[in-house]
Amino acid sequence: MFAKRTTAVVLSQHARGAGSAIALRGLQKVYGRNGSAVRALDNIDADFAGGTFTAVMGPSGSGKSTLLQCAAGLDRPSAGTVWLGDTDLTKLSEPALTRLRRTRIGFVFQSFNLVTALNVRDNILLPSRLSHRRPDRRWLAEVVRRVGLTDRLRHRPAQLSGGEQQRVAIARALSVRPDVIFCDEPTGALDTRTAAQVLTLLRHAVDADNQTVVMVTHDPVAASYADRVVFLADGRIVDDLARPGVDAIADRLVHLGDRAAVATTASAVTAW
Amino acid sequence: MVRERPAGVVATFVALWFAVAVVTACGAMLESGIRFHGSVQRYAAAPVLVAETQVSRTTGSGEDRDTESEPLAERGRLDSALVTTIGRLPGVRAAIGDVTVPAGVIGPTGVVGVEVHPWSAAALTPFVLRTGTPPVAGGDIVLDQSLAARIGAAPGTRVTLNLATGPRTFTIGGVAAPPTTEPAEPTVFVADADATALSGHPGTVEVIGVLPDAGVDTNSLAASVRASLPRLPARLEGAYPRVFTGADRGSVESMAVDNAREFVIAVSSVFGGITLLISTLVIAGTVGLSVRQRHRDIALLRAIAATPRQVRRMVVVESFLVSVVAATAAIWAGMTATGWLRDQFVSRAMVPDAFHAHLSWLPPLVAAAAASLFAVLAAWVASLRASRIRPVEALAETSVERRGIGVVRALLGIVALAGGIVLAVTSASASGDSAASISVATVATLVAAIGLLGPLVIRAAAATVGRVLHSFGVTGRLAVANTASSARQLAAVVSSLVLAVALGGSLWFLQTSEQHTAAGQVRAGLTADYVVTPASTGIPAGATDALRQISGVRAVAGVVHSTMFAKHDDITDYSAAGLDVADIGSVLNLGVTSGRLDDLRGDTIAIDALTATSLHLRVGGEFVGWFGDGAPARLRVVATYSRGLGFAALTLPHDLLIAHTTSGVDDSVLIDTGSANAATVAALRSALGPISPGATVVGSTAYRASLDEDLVQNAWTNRVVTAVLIVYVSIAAANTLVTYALGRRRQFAVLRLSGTTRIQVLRMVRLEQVLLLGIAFAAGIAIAAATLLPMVKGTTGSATPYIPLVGWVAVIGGTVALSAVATMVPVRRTLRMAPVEAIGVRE
Repeated sequence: MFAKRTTAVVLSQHARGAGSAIALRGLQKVYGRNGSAVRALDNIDADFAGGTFTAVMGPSGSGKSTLLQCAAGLDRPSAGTVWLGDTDLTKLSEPALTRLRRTRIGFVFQSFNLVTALNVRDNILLPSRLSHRRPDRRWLAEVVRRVGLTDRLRHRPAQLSGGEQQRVAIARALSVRPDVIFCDEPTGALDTRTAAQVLTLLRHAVDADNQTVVMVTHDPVAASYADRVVFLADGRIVDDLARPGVDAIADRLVHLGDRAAVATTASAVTAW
Repeated sequence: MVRERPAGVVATFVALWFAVAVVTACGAMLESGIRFHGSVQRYAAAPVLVAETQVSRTTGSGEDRDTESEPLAERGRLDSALVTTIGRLPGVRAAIGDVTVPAGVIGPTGVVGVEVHPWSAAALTPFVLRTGTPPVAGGDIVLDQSLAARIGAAPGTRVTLNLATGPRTFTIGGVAAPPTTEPAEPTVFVADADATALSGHPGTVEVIGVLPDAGVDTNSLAASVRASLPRLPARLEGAYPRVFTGADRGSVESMAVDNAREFVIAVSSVFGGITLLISTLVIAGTVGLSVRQRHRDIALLRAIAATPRQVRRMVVVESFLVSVVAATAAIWAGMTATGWLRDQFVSRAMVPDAFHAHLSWLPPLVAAAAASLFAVLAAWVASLRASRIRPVEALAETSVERRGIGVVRALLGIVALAGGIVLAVTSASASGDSAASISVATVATLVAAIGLLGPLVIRAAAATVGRVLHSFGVTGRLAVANTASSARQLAAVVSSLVLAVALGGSLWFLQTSEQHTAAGQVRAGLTADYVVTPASTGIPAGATDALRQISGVRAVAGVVHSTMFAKHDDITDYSAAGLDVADIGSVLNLGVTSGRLDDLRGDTIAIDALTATSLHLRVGGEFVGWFGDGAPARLRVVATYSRGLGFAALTLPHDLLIAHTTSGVDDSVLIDTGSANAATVAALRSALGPISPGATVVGSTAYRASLDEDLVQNAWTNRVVTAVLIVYVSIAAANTLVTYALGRRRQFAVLRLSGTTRIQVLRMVRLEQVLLLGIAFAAGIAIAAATLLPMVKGTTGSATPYIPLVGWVAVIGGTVALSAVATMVPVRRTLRMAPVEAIGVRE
């Protein structure tokens, strides 16, 4: 059991590897000033390979949402760089960043994803419309079919359930065929069955279309759908598991704070 | 977007609708005024007229050179030698001089006002004799057909005319009528010599009508007539004969035309300008608040990748669309209002019946364009901040305001504050028409300052005065905390309340102060026991002598009213009264402040103290200006007095002033009888009967009451303007209150889920209102005072404004009631939703 857990972080320290959809180098985010400064992200280095499903987990205050926001270009880090393929997000101006986000990044929030004044179809088409691009009708139909909302296109968000709204948000994210889709607790407000539907959708996108998905979650069941689970604590990456099962994830979560104690005991045992 | 937050859009819509409606009405009125030339009936046959209708003055030099003109108050006079000169010009068939002598014909139903003209002027219409013979010198007269029918007269009947010299009976020699429409004023023709004698100014005429030879072009005729007139000096000072052709002849035909045009243009441009100014504040407030409330919607759009520019464009386009819809809806209302205004002006005799509302597409277009421009600008400014919202704020649970207000906003606020104070100080020297505009400009600037610096003021007030509310327990603390944290949104709400209080306070009470002072001056100054008021044509000069003979009468003073012009701000007109100081004695107390009224003989003048200050004149100085008929006046100042508002700004010797009036009669007679005696009054009435039929003798108390009514009547226009503006800003204030209240759904839900009961929430809201209203009243009353006091001092001489109790109740009570209804009703509605549902609503 102890052997599986490592305190070392598995990532490439050298230049980001080819095929890396998102690369973070020395990422830092500090809120507040001087005495009341809070370090949300403390010197993060990470690579997220293309065509993979990664889950980011950690206790509250670990900085996982902040990590996602910086990686997606929604917020600017205090220091460090974010590479989306060949592009350095941190060097872009706000309008340029926005334009880039429109076509290369998809984002799914936990709630309040949709513009309530528009119907489902218009919500899905919104990013394409904003970038003045003609939507690919066939891909659009495919996406709508996949999320299972072909007959709800004319309805408003107020007429949809929470799960249906999340599916619309995913459809919107998929419609532009972005480099990466970021999800912030997408199943947080859903029941288990609907959550499973949403997660299956994401998994399918990764498997069938080589989509890259990075998902923040606190739910071990959700994380079990992922190829790789990254654990954050106090703004640092503390562990990285490949294809873990639900039990392994849950176990790791519970003992996230213990690693220091375990290491001491282990060294005490070996020393003895 | 619109469906989610209707309240803000409705507020903007209403603000724009109102502005467009009022500005359209004012613009249409302005255009109607500019296009108003009256009708030409009496002089229809004469294509070219010569007359003096205005007094002009050229000031400045080089590029600043400007000539201002004012319409004369009495008919200007031309040398009758001019008639002969023009008659000899080539192409002129005849040049005919005309005078107008106002008189009254005593008919079966009472006295009918008529104009007496020389018979030779009949050719200018032309009047054609239908029956009987033309007038004879010293004998028969001719009536116009409809007048004859009205009083049931025919050739051979005897009729009595009320003239300046007294009533005289004539025999009707004939009846005449023009081939087409008759002039509005009934006409009586007398022999030319008689007309000259009756006019009281031999050797002069008032109008020269030029009849051309056959085939002569009007323009070339006008040019040659103009060339024959004395050459105009390079710098105009006074009244000069001018040539009139076409529709312009309407000004010659009726003196009311030019005066009506001036009045309408002045009122509509002032009213329209003020509304535009106020609407900028109102529209900026409603648009700003509406955009701020959609903060999170906009953040979501930014997160879904709308660039800042796209967000700005969306906000601006939406604002533009609302303005277009509002403007379209308001145009009809504005046009209807124009018609209503016109009818009101005519019914109150402010403009002649010939004045028509001219409705073209230009005023609505201008109004709509202006409103759209304001809306778009306000939206653009509001969107600047909105577009800078970080997308990540879309993920935040609540939106928290930034502390401080930014350098640009603070600087603008300070500039506005300084500007407002400067305006307030300079307004002390304002007078008349400009008073209303300056007071509104002062209020607007200071309120803009409050709007810009609002968040700071609110937070400061919450921190200091708000402590008092802490004694009300937890609801008090919550109220103060909420106010401080929503200071930016509340700045818009507070400034709209301040605008309502300040505007109502200053405009309304400026009028009440003026009226009160005027009424007070009349009460103190008019010491006569009885006042004689004429039927229609004034009281002839001989009347005062006759009345003096009656036993029991101690003093009789005839008063003639006119207007004079002085060289101040180019040309300004002042009310003038003429009376005989020998008779004043106990009937009038003007409150002399310097000099002696006894010296008012010959070429002298006495001036109201405030007027004297603005004209820089003192006892011993010289008044240089013009009489109402354009004749130059150089008069020595012998006295100043304090009761000018109630009486007249200028007082002259009776005979001097009356010589420069058209009618040549007194407008009222003041009588002191010592002890009130029914027999004396009866004797007065019977003495007046034959001299001035239809005149009434009124006790001074009753007379004062009727003067009060007159003051109120004259202030009708001011009251309409004030009322409309106050309604507008009140609606705007109510709108912002409702918009703000409706946006607090989630906030209340959070409170209730934390354990606050509905009653406690309501109490908290009421306490917040107390704090807000406190700030609004403090600022509003301060601004109103800063605006009102200098103005009141300038127009009445005393710095204490007169504010009736009704005024206090209306302004303060009205604002409290408005605020209560506009806040509590939407809040109660919001509280009906279960808190668990409401908390899911995006704030």
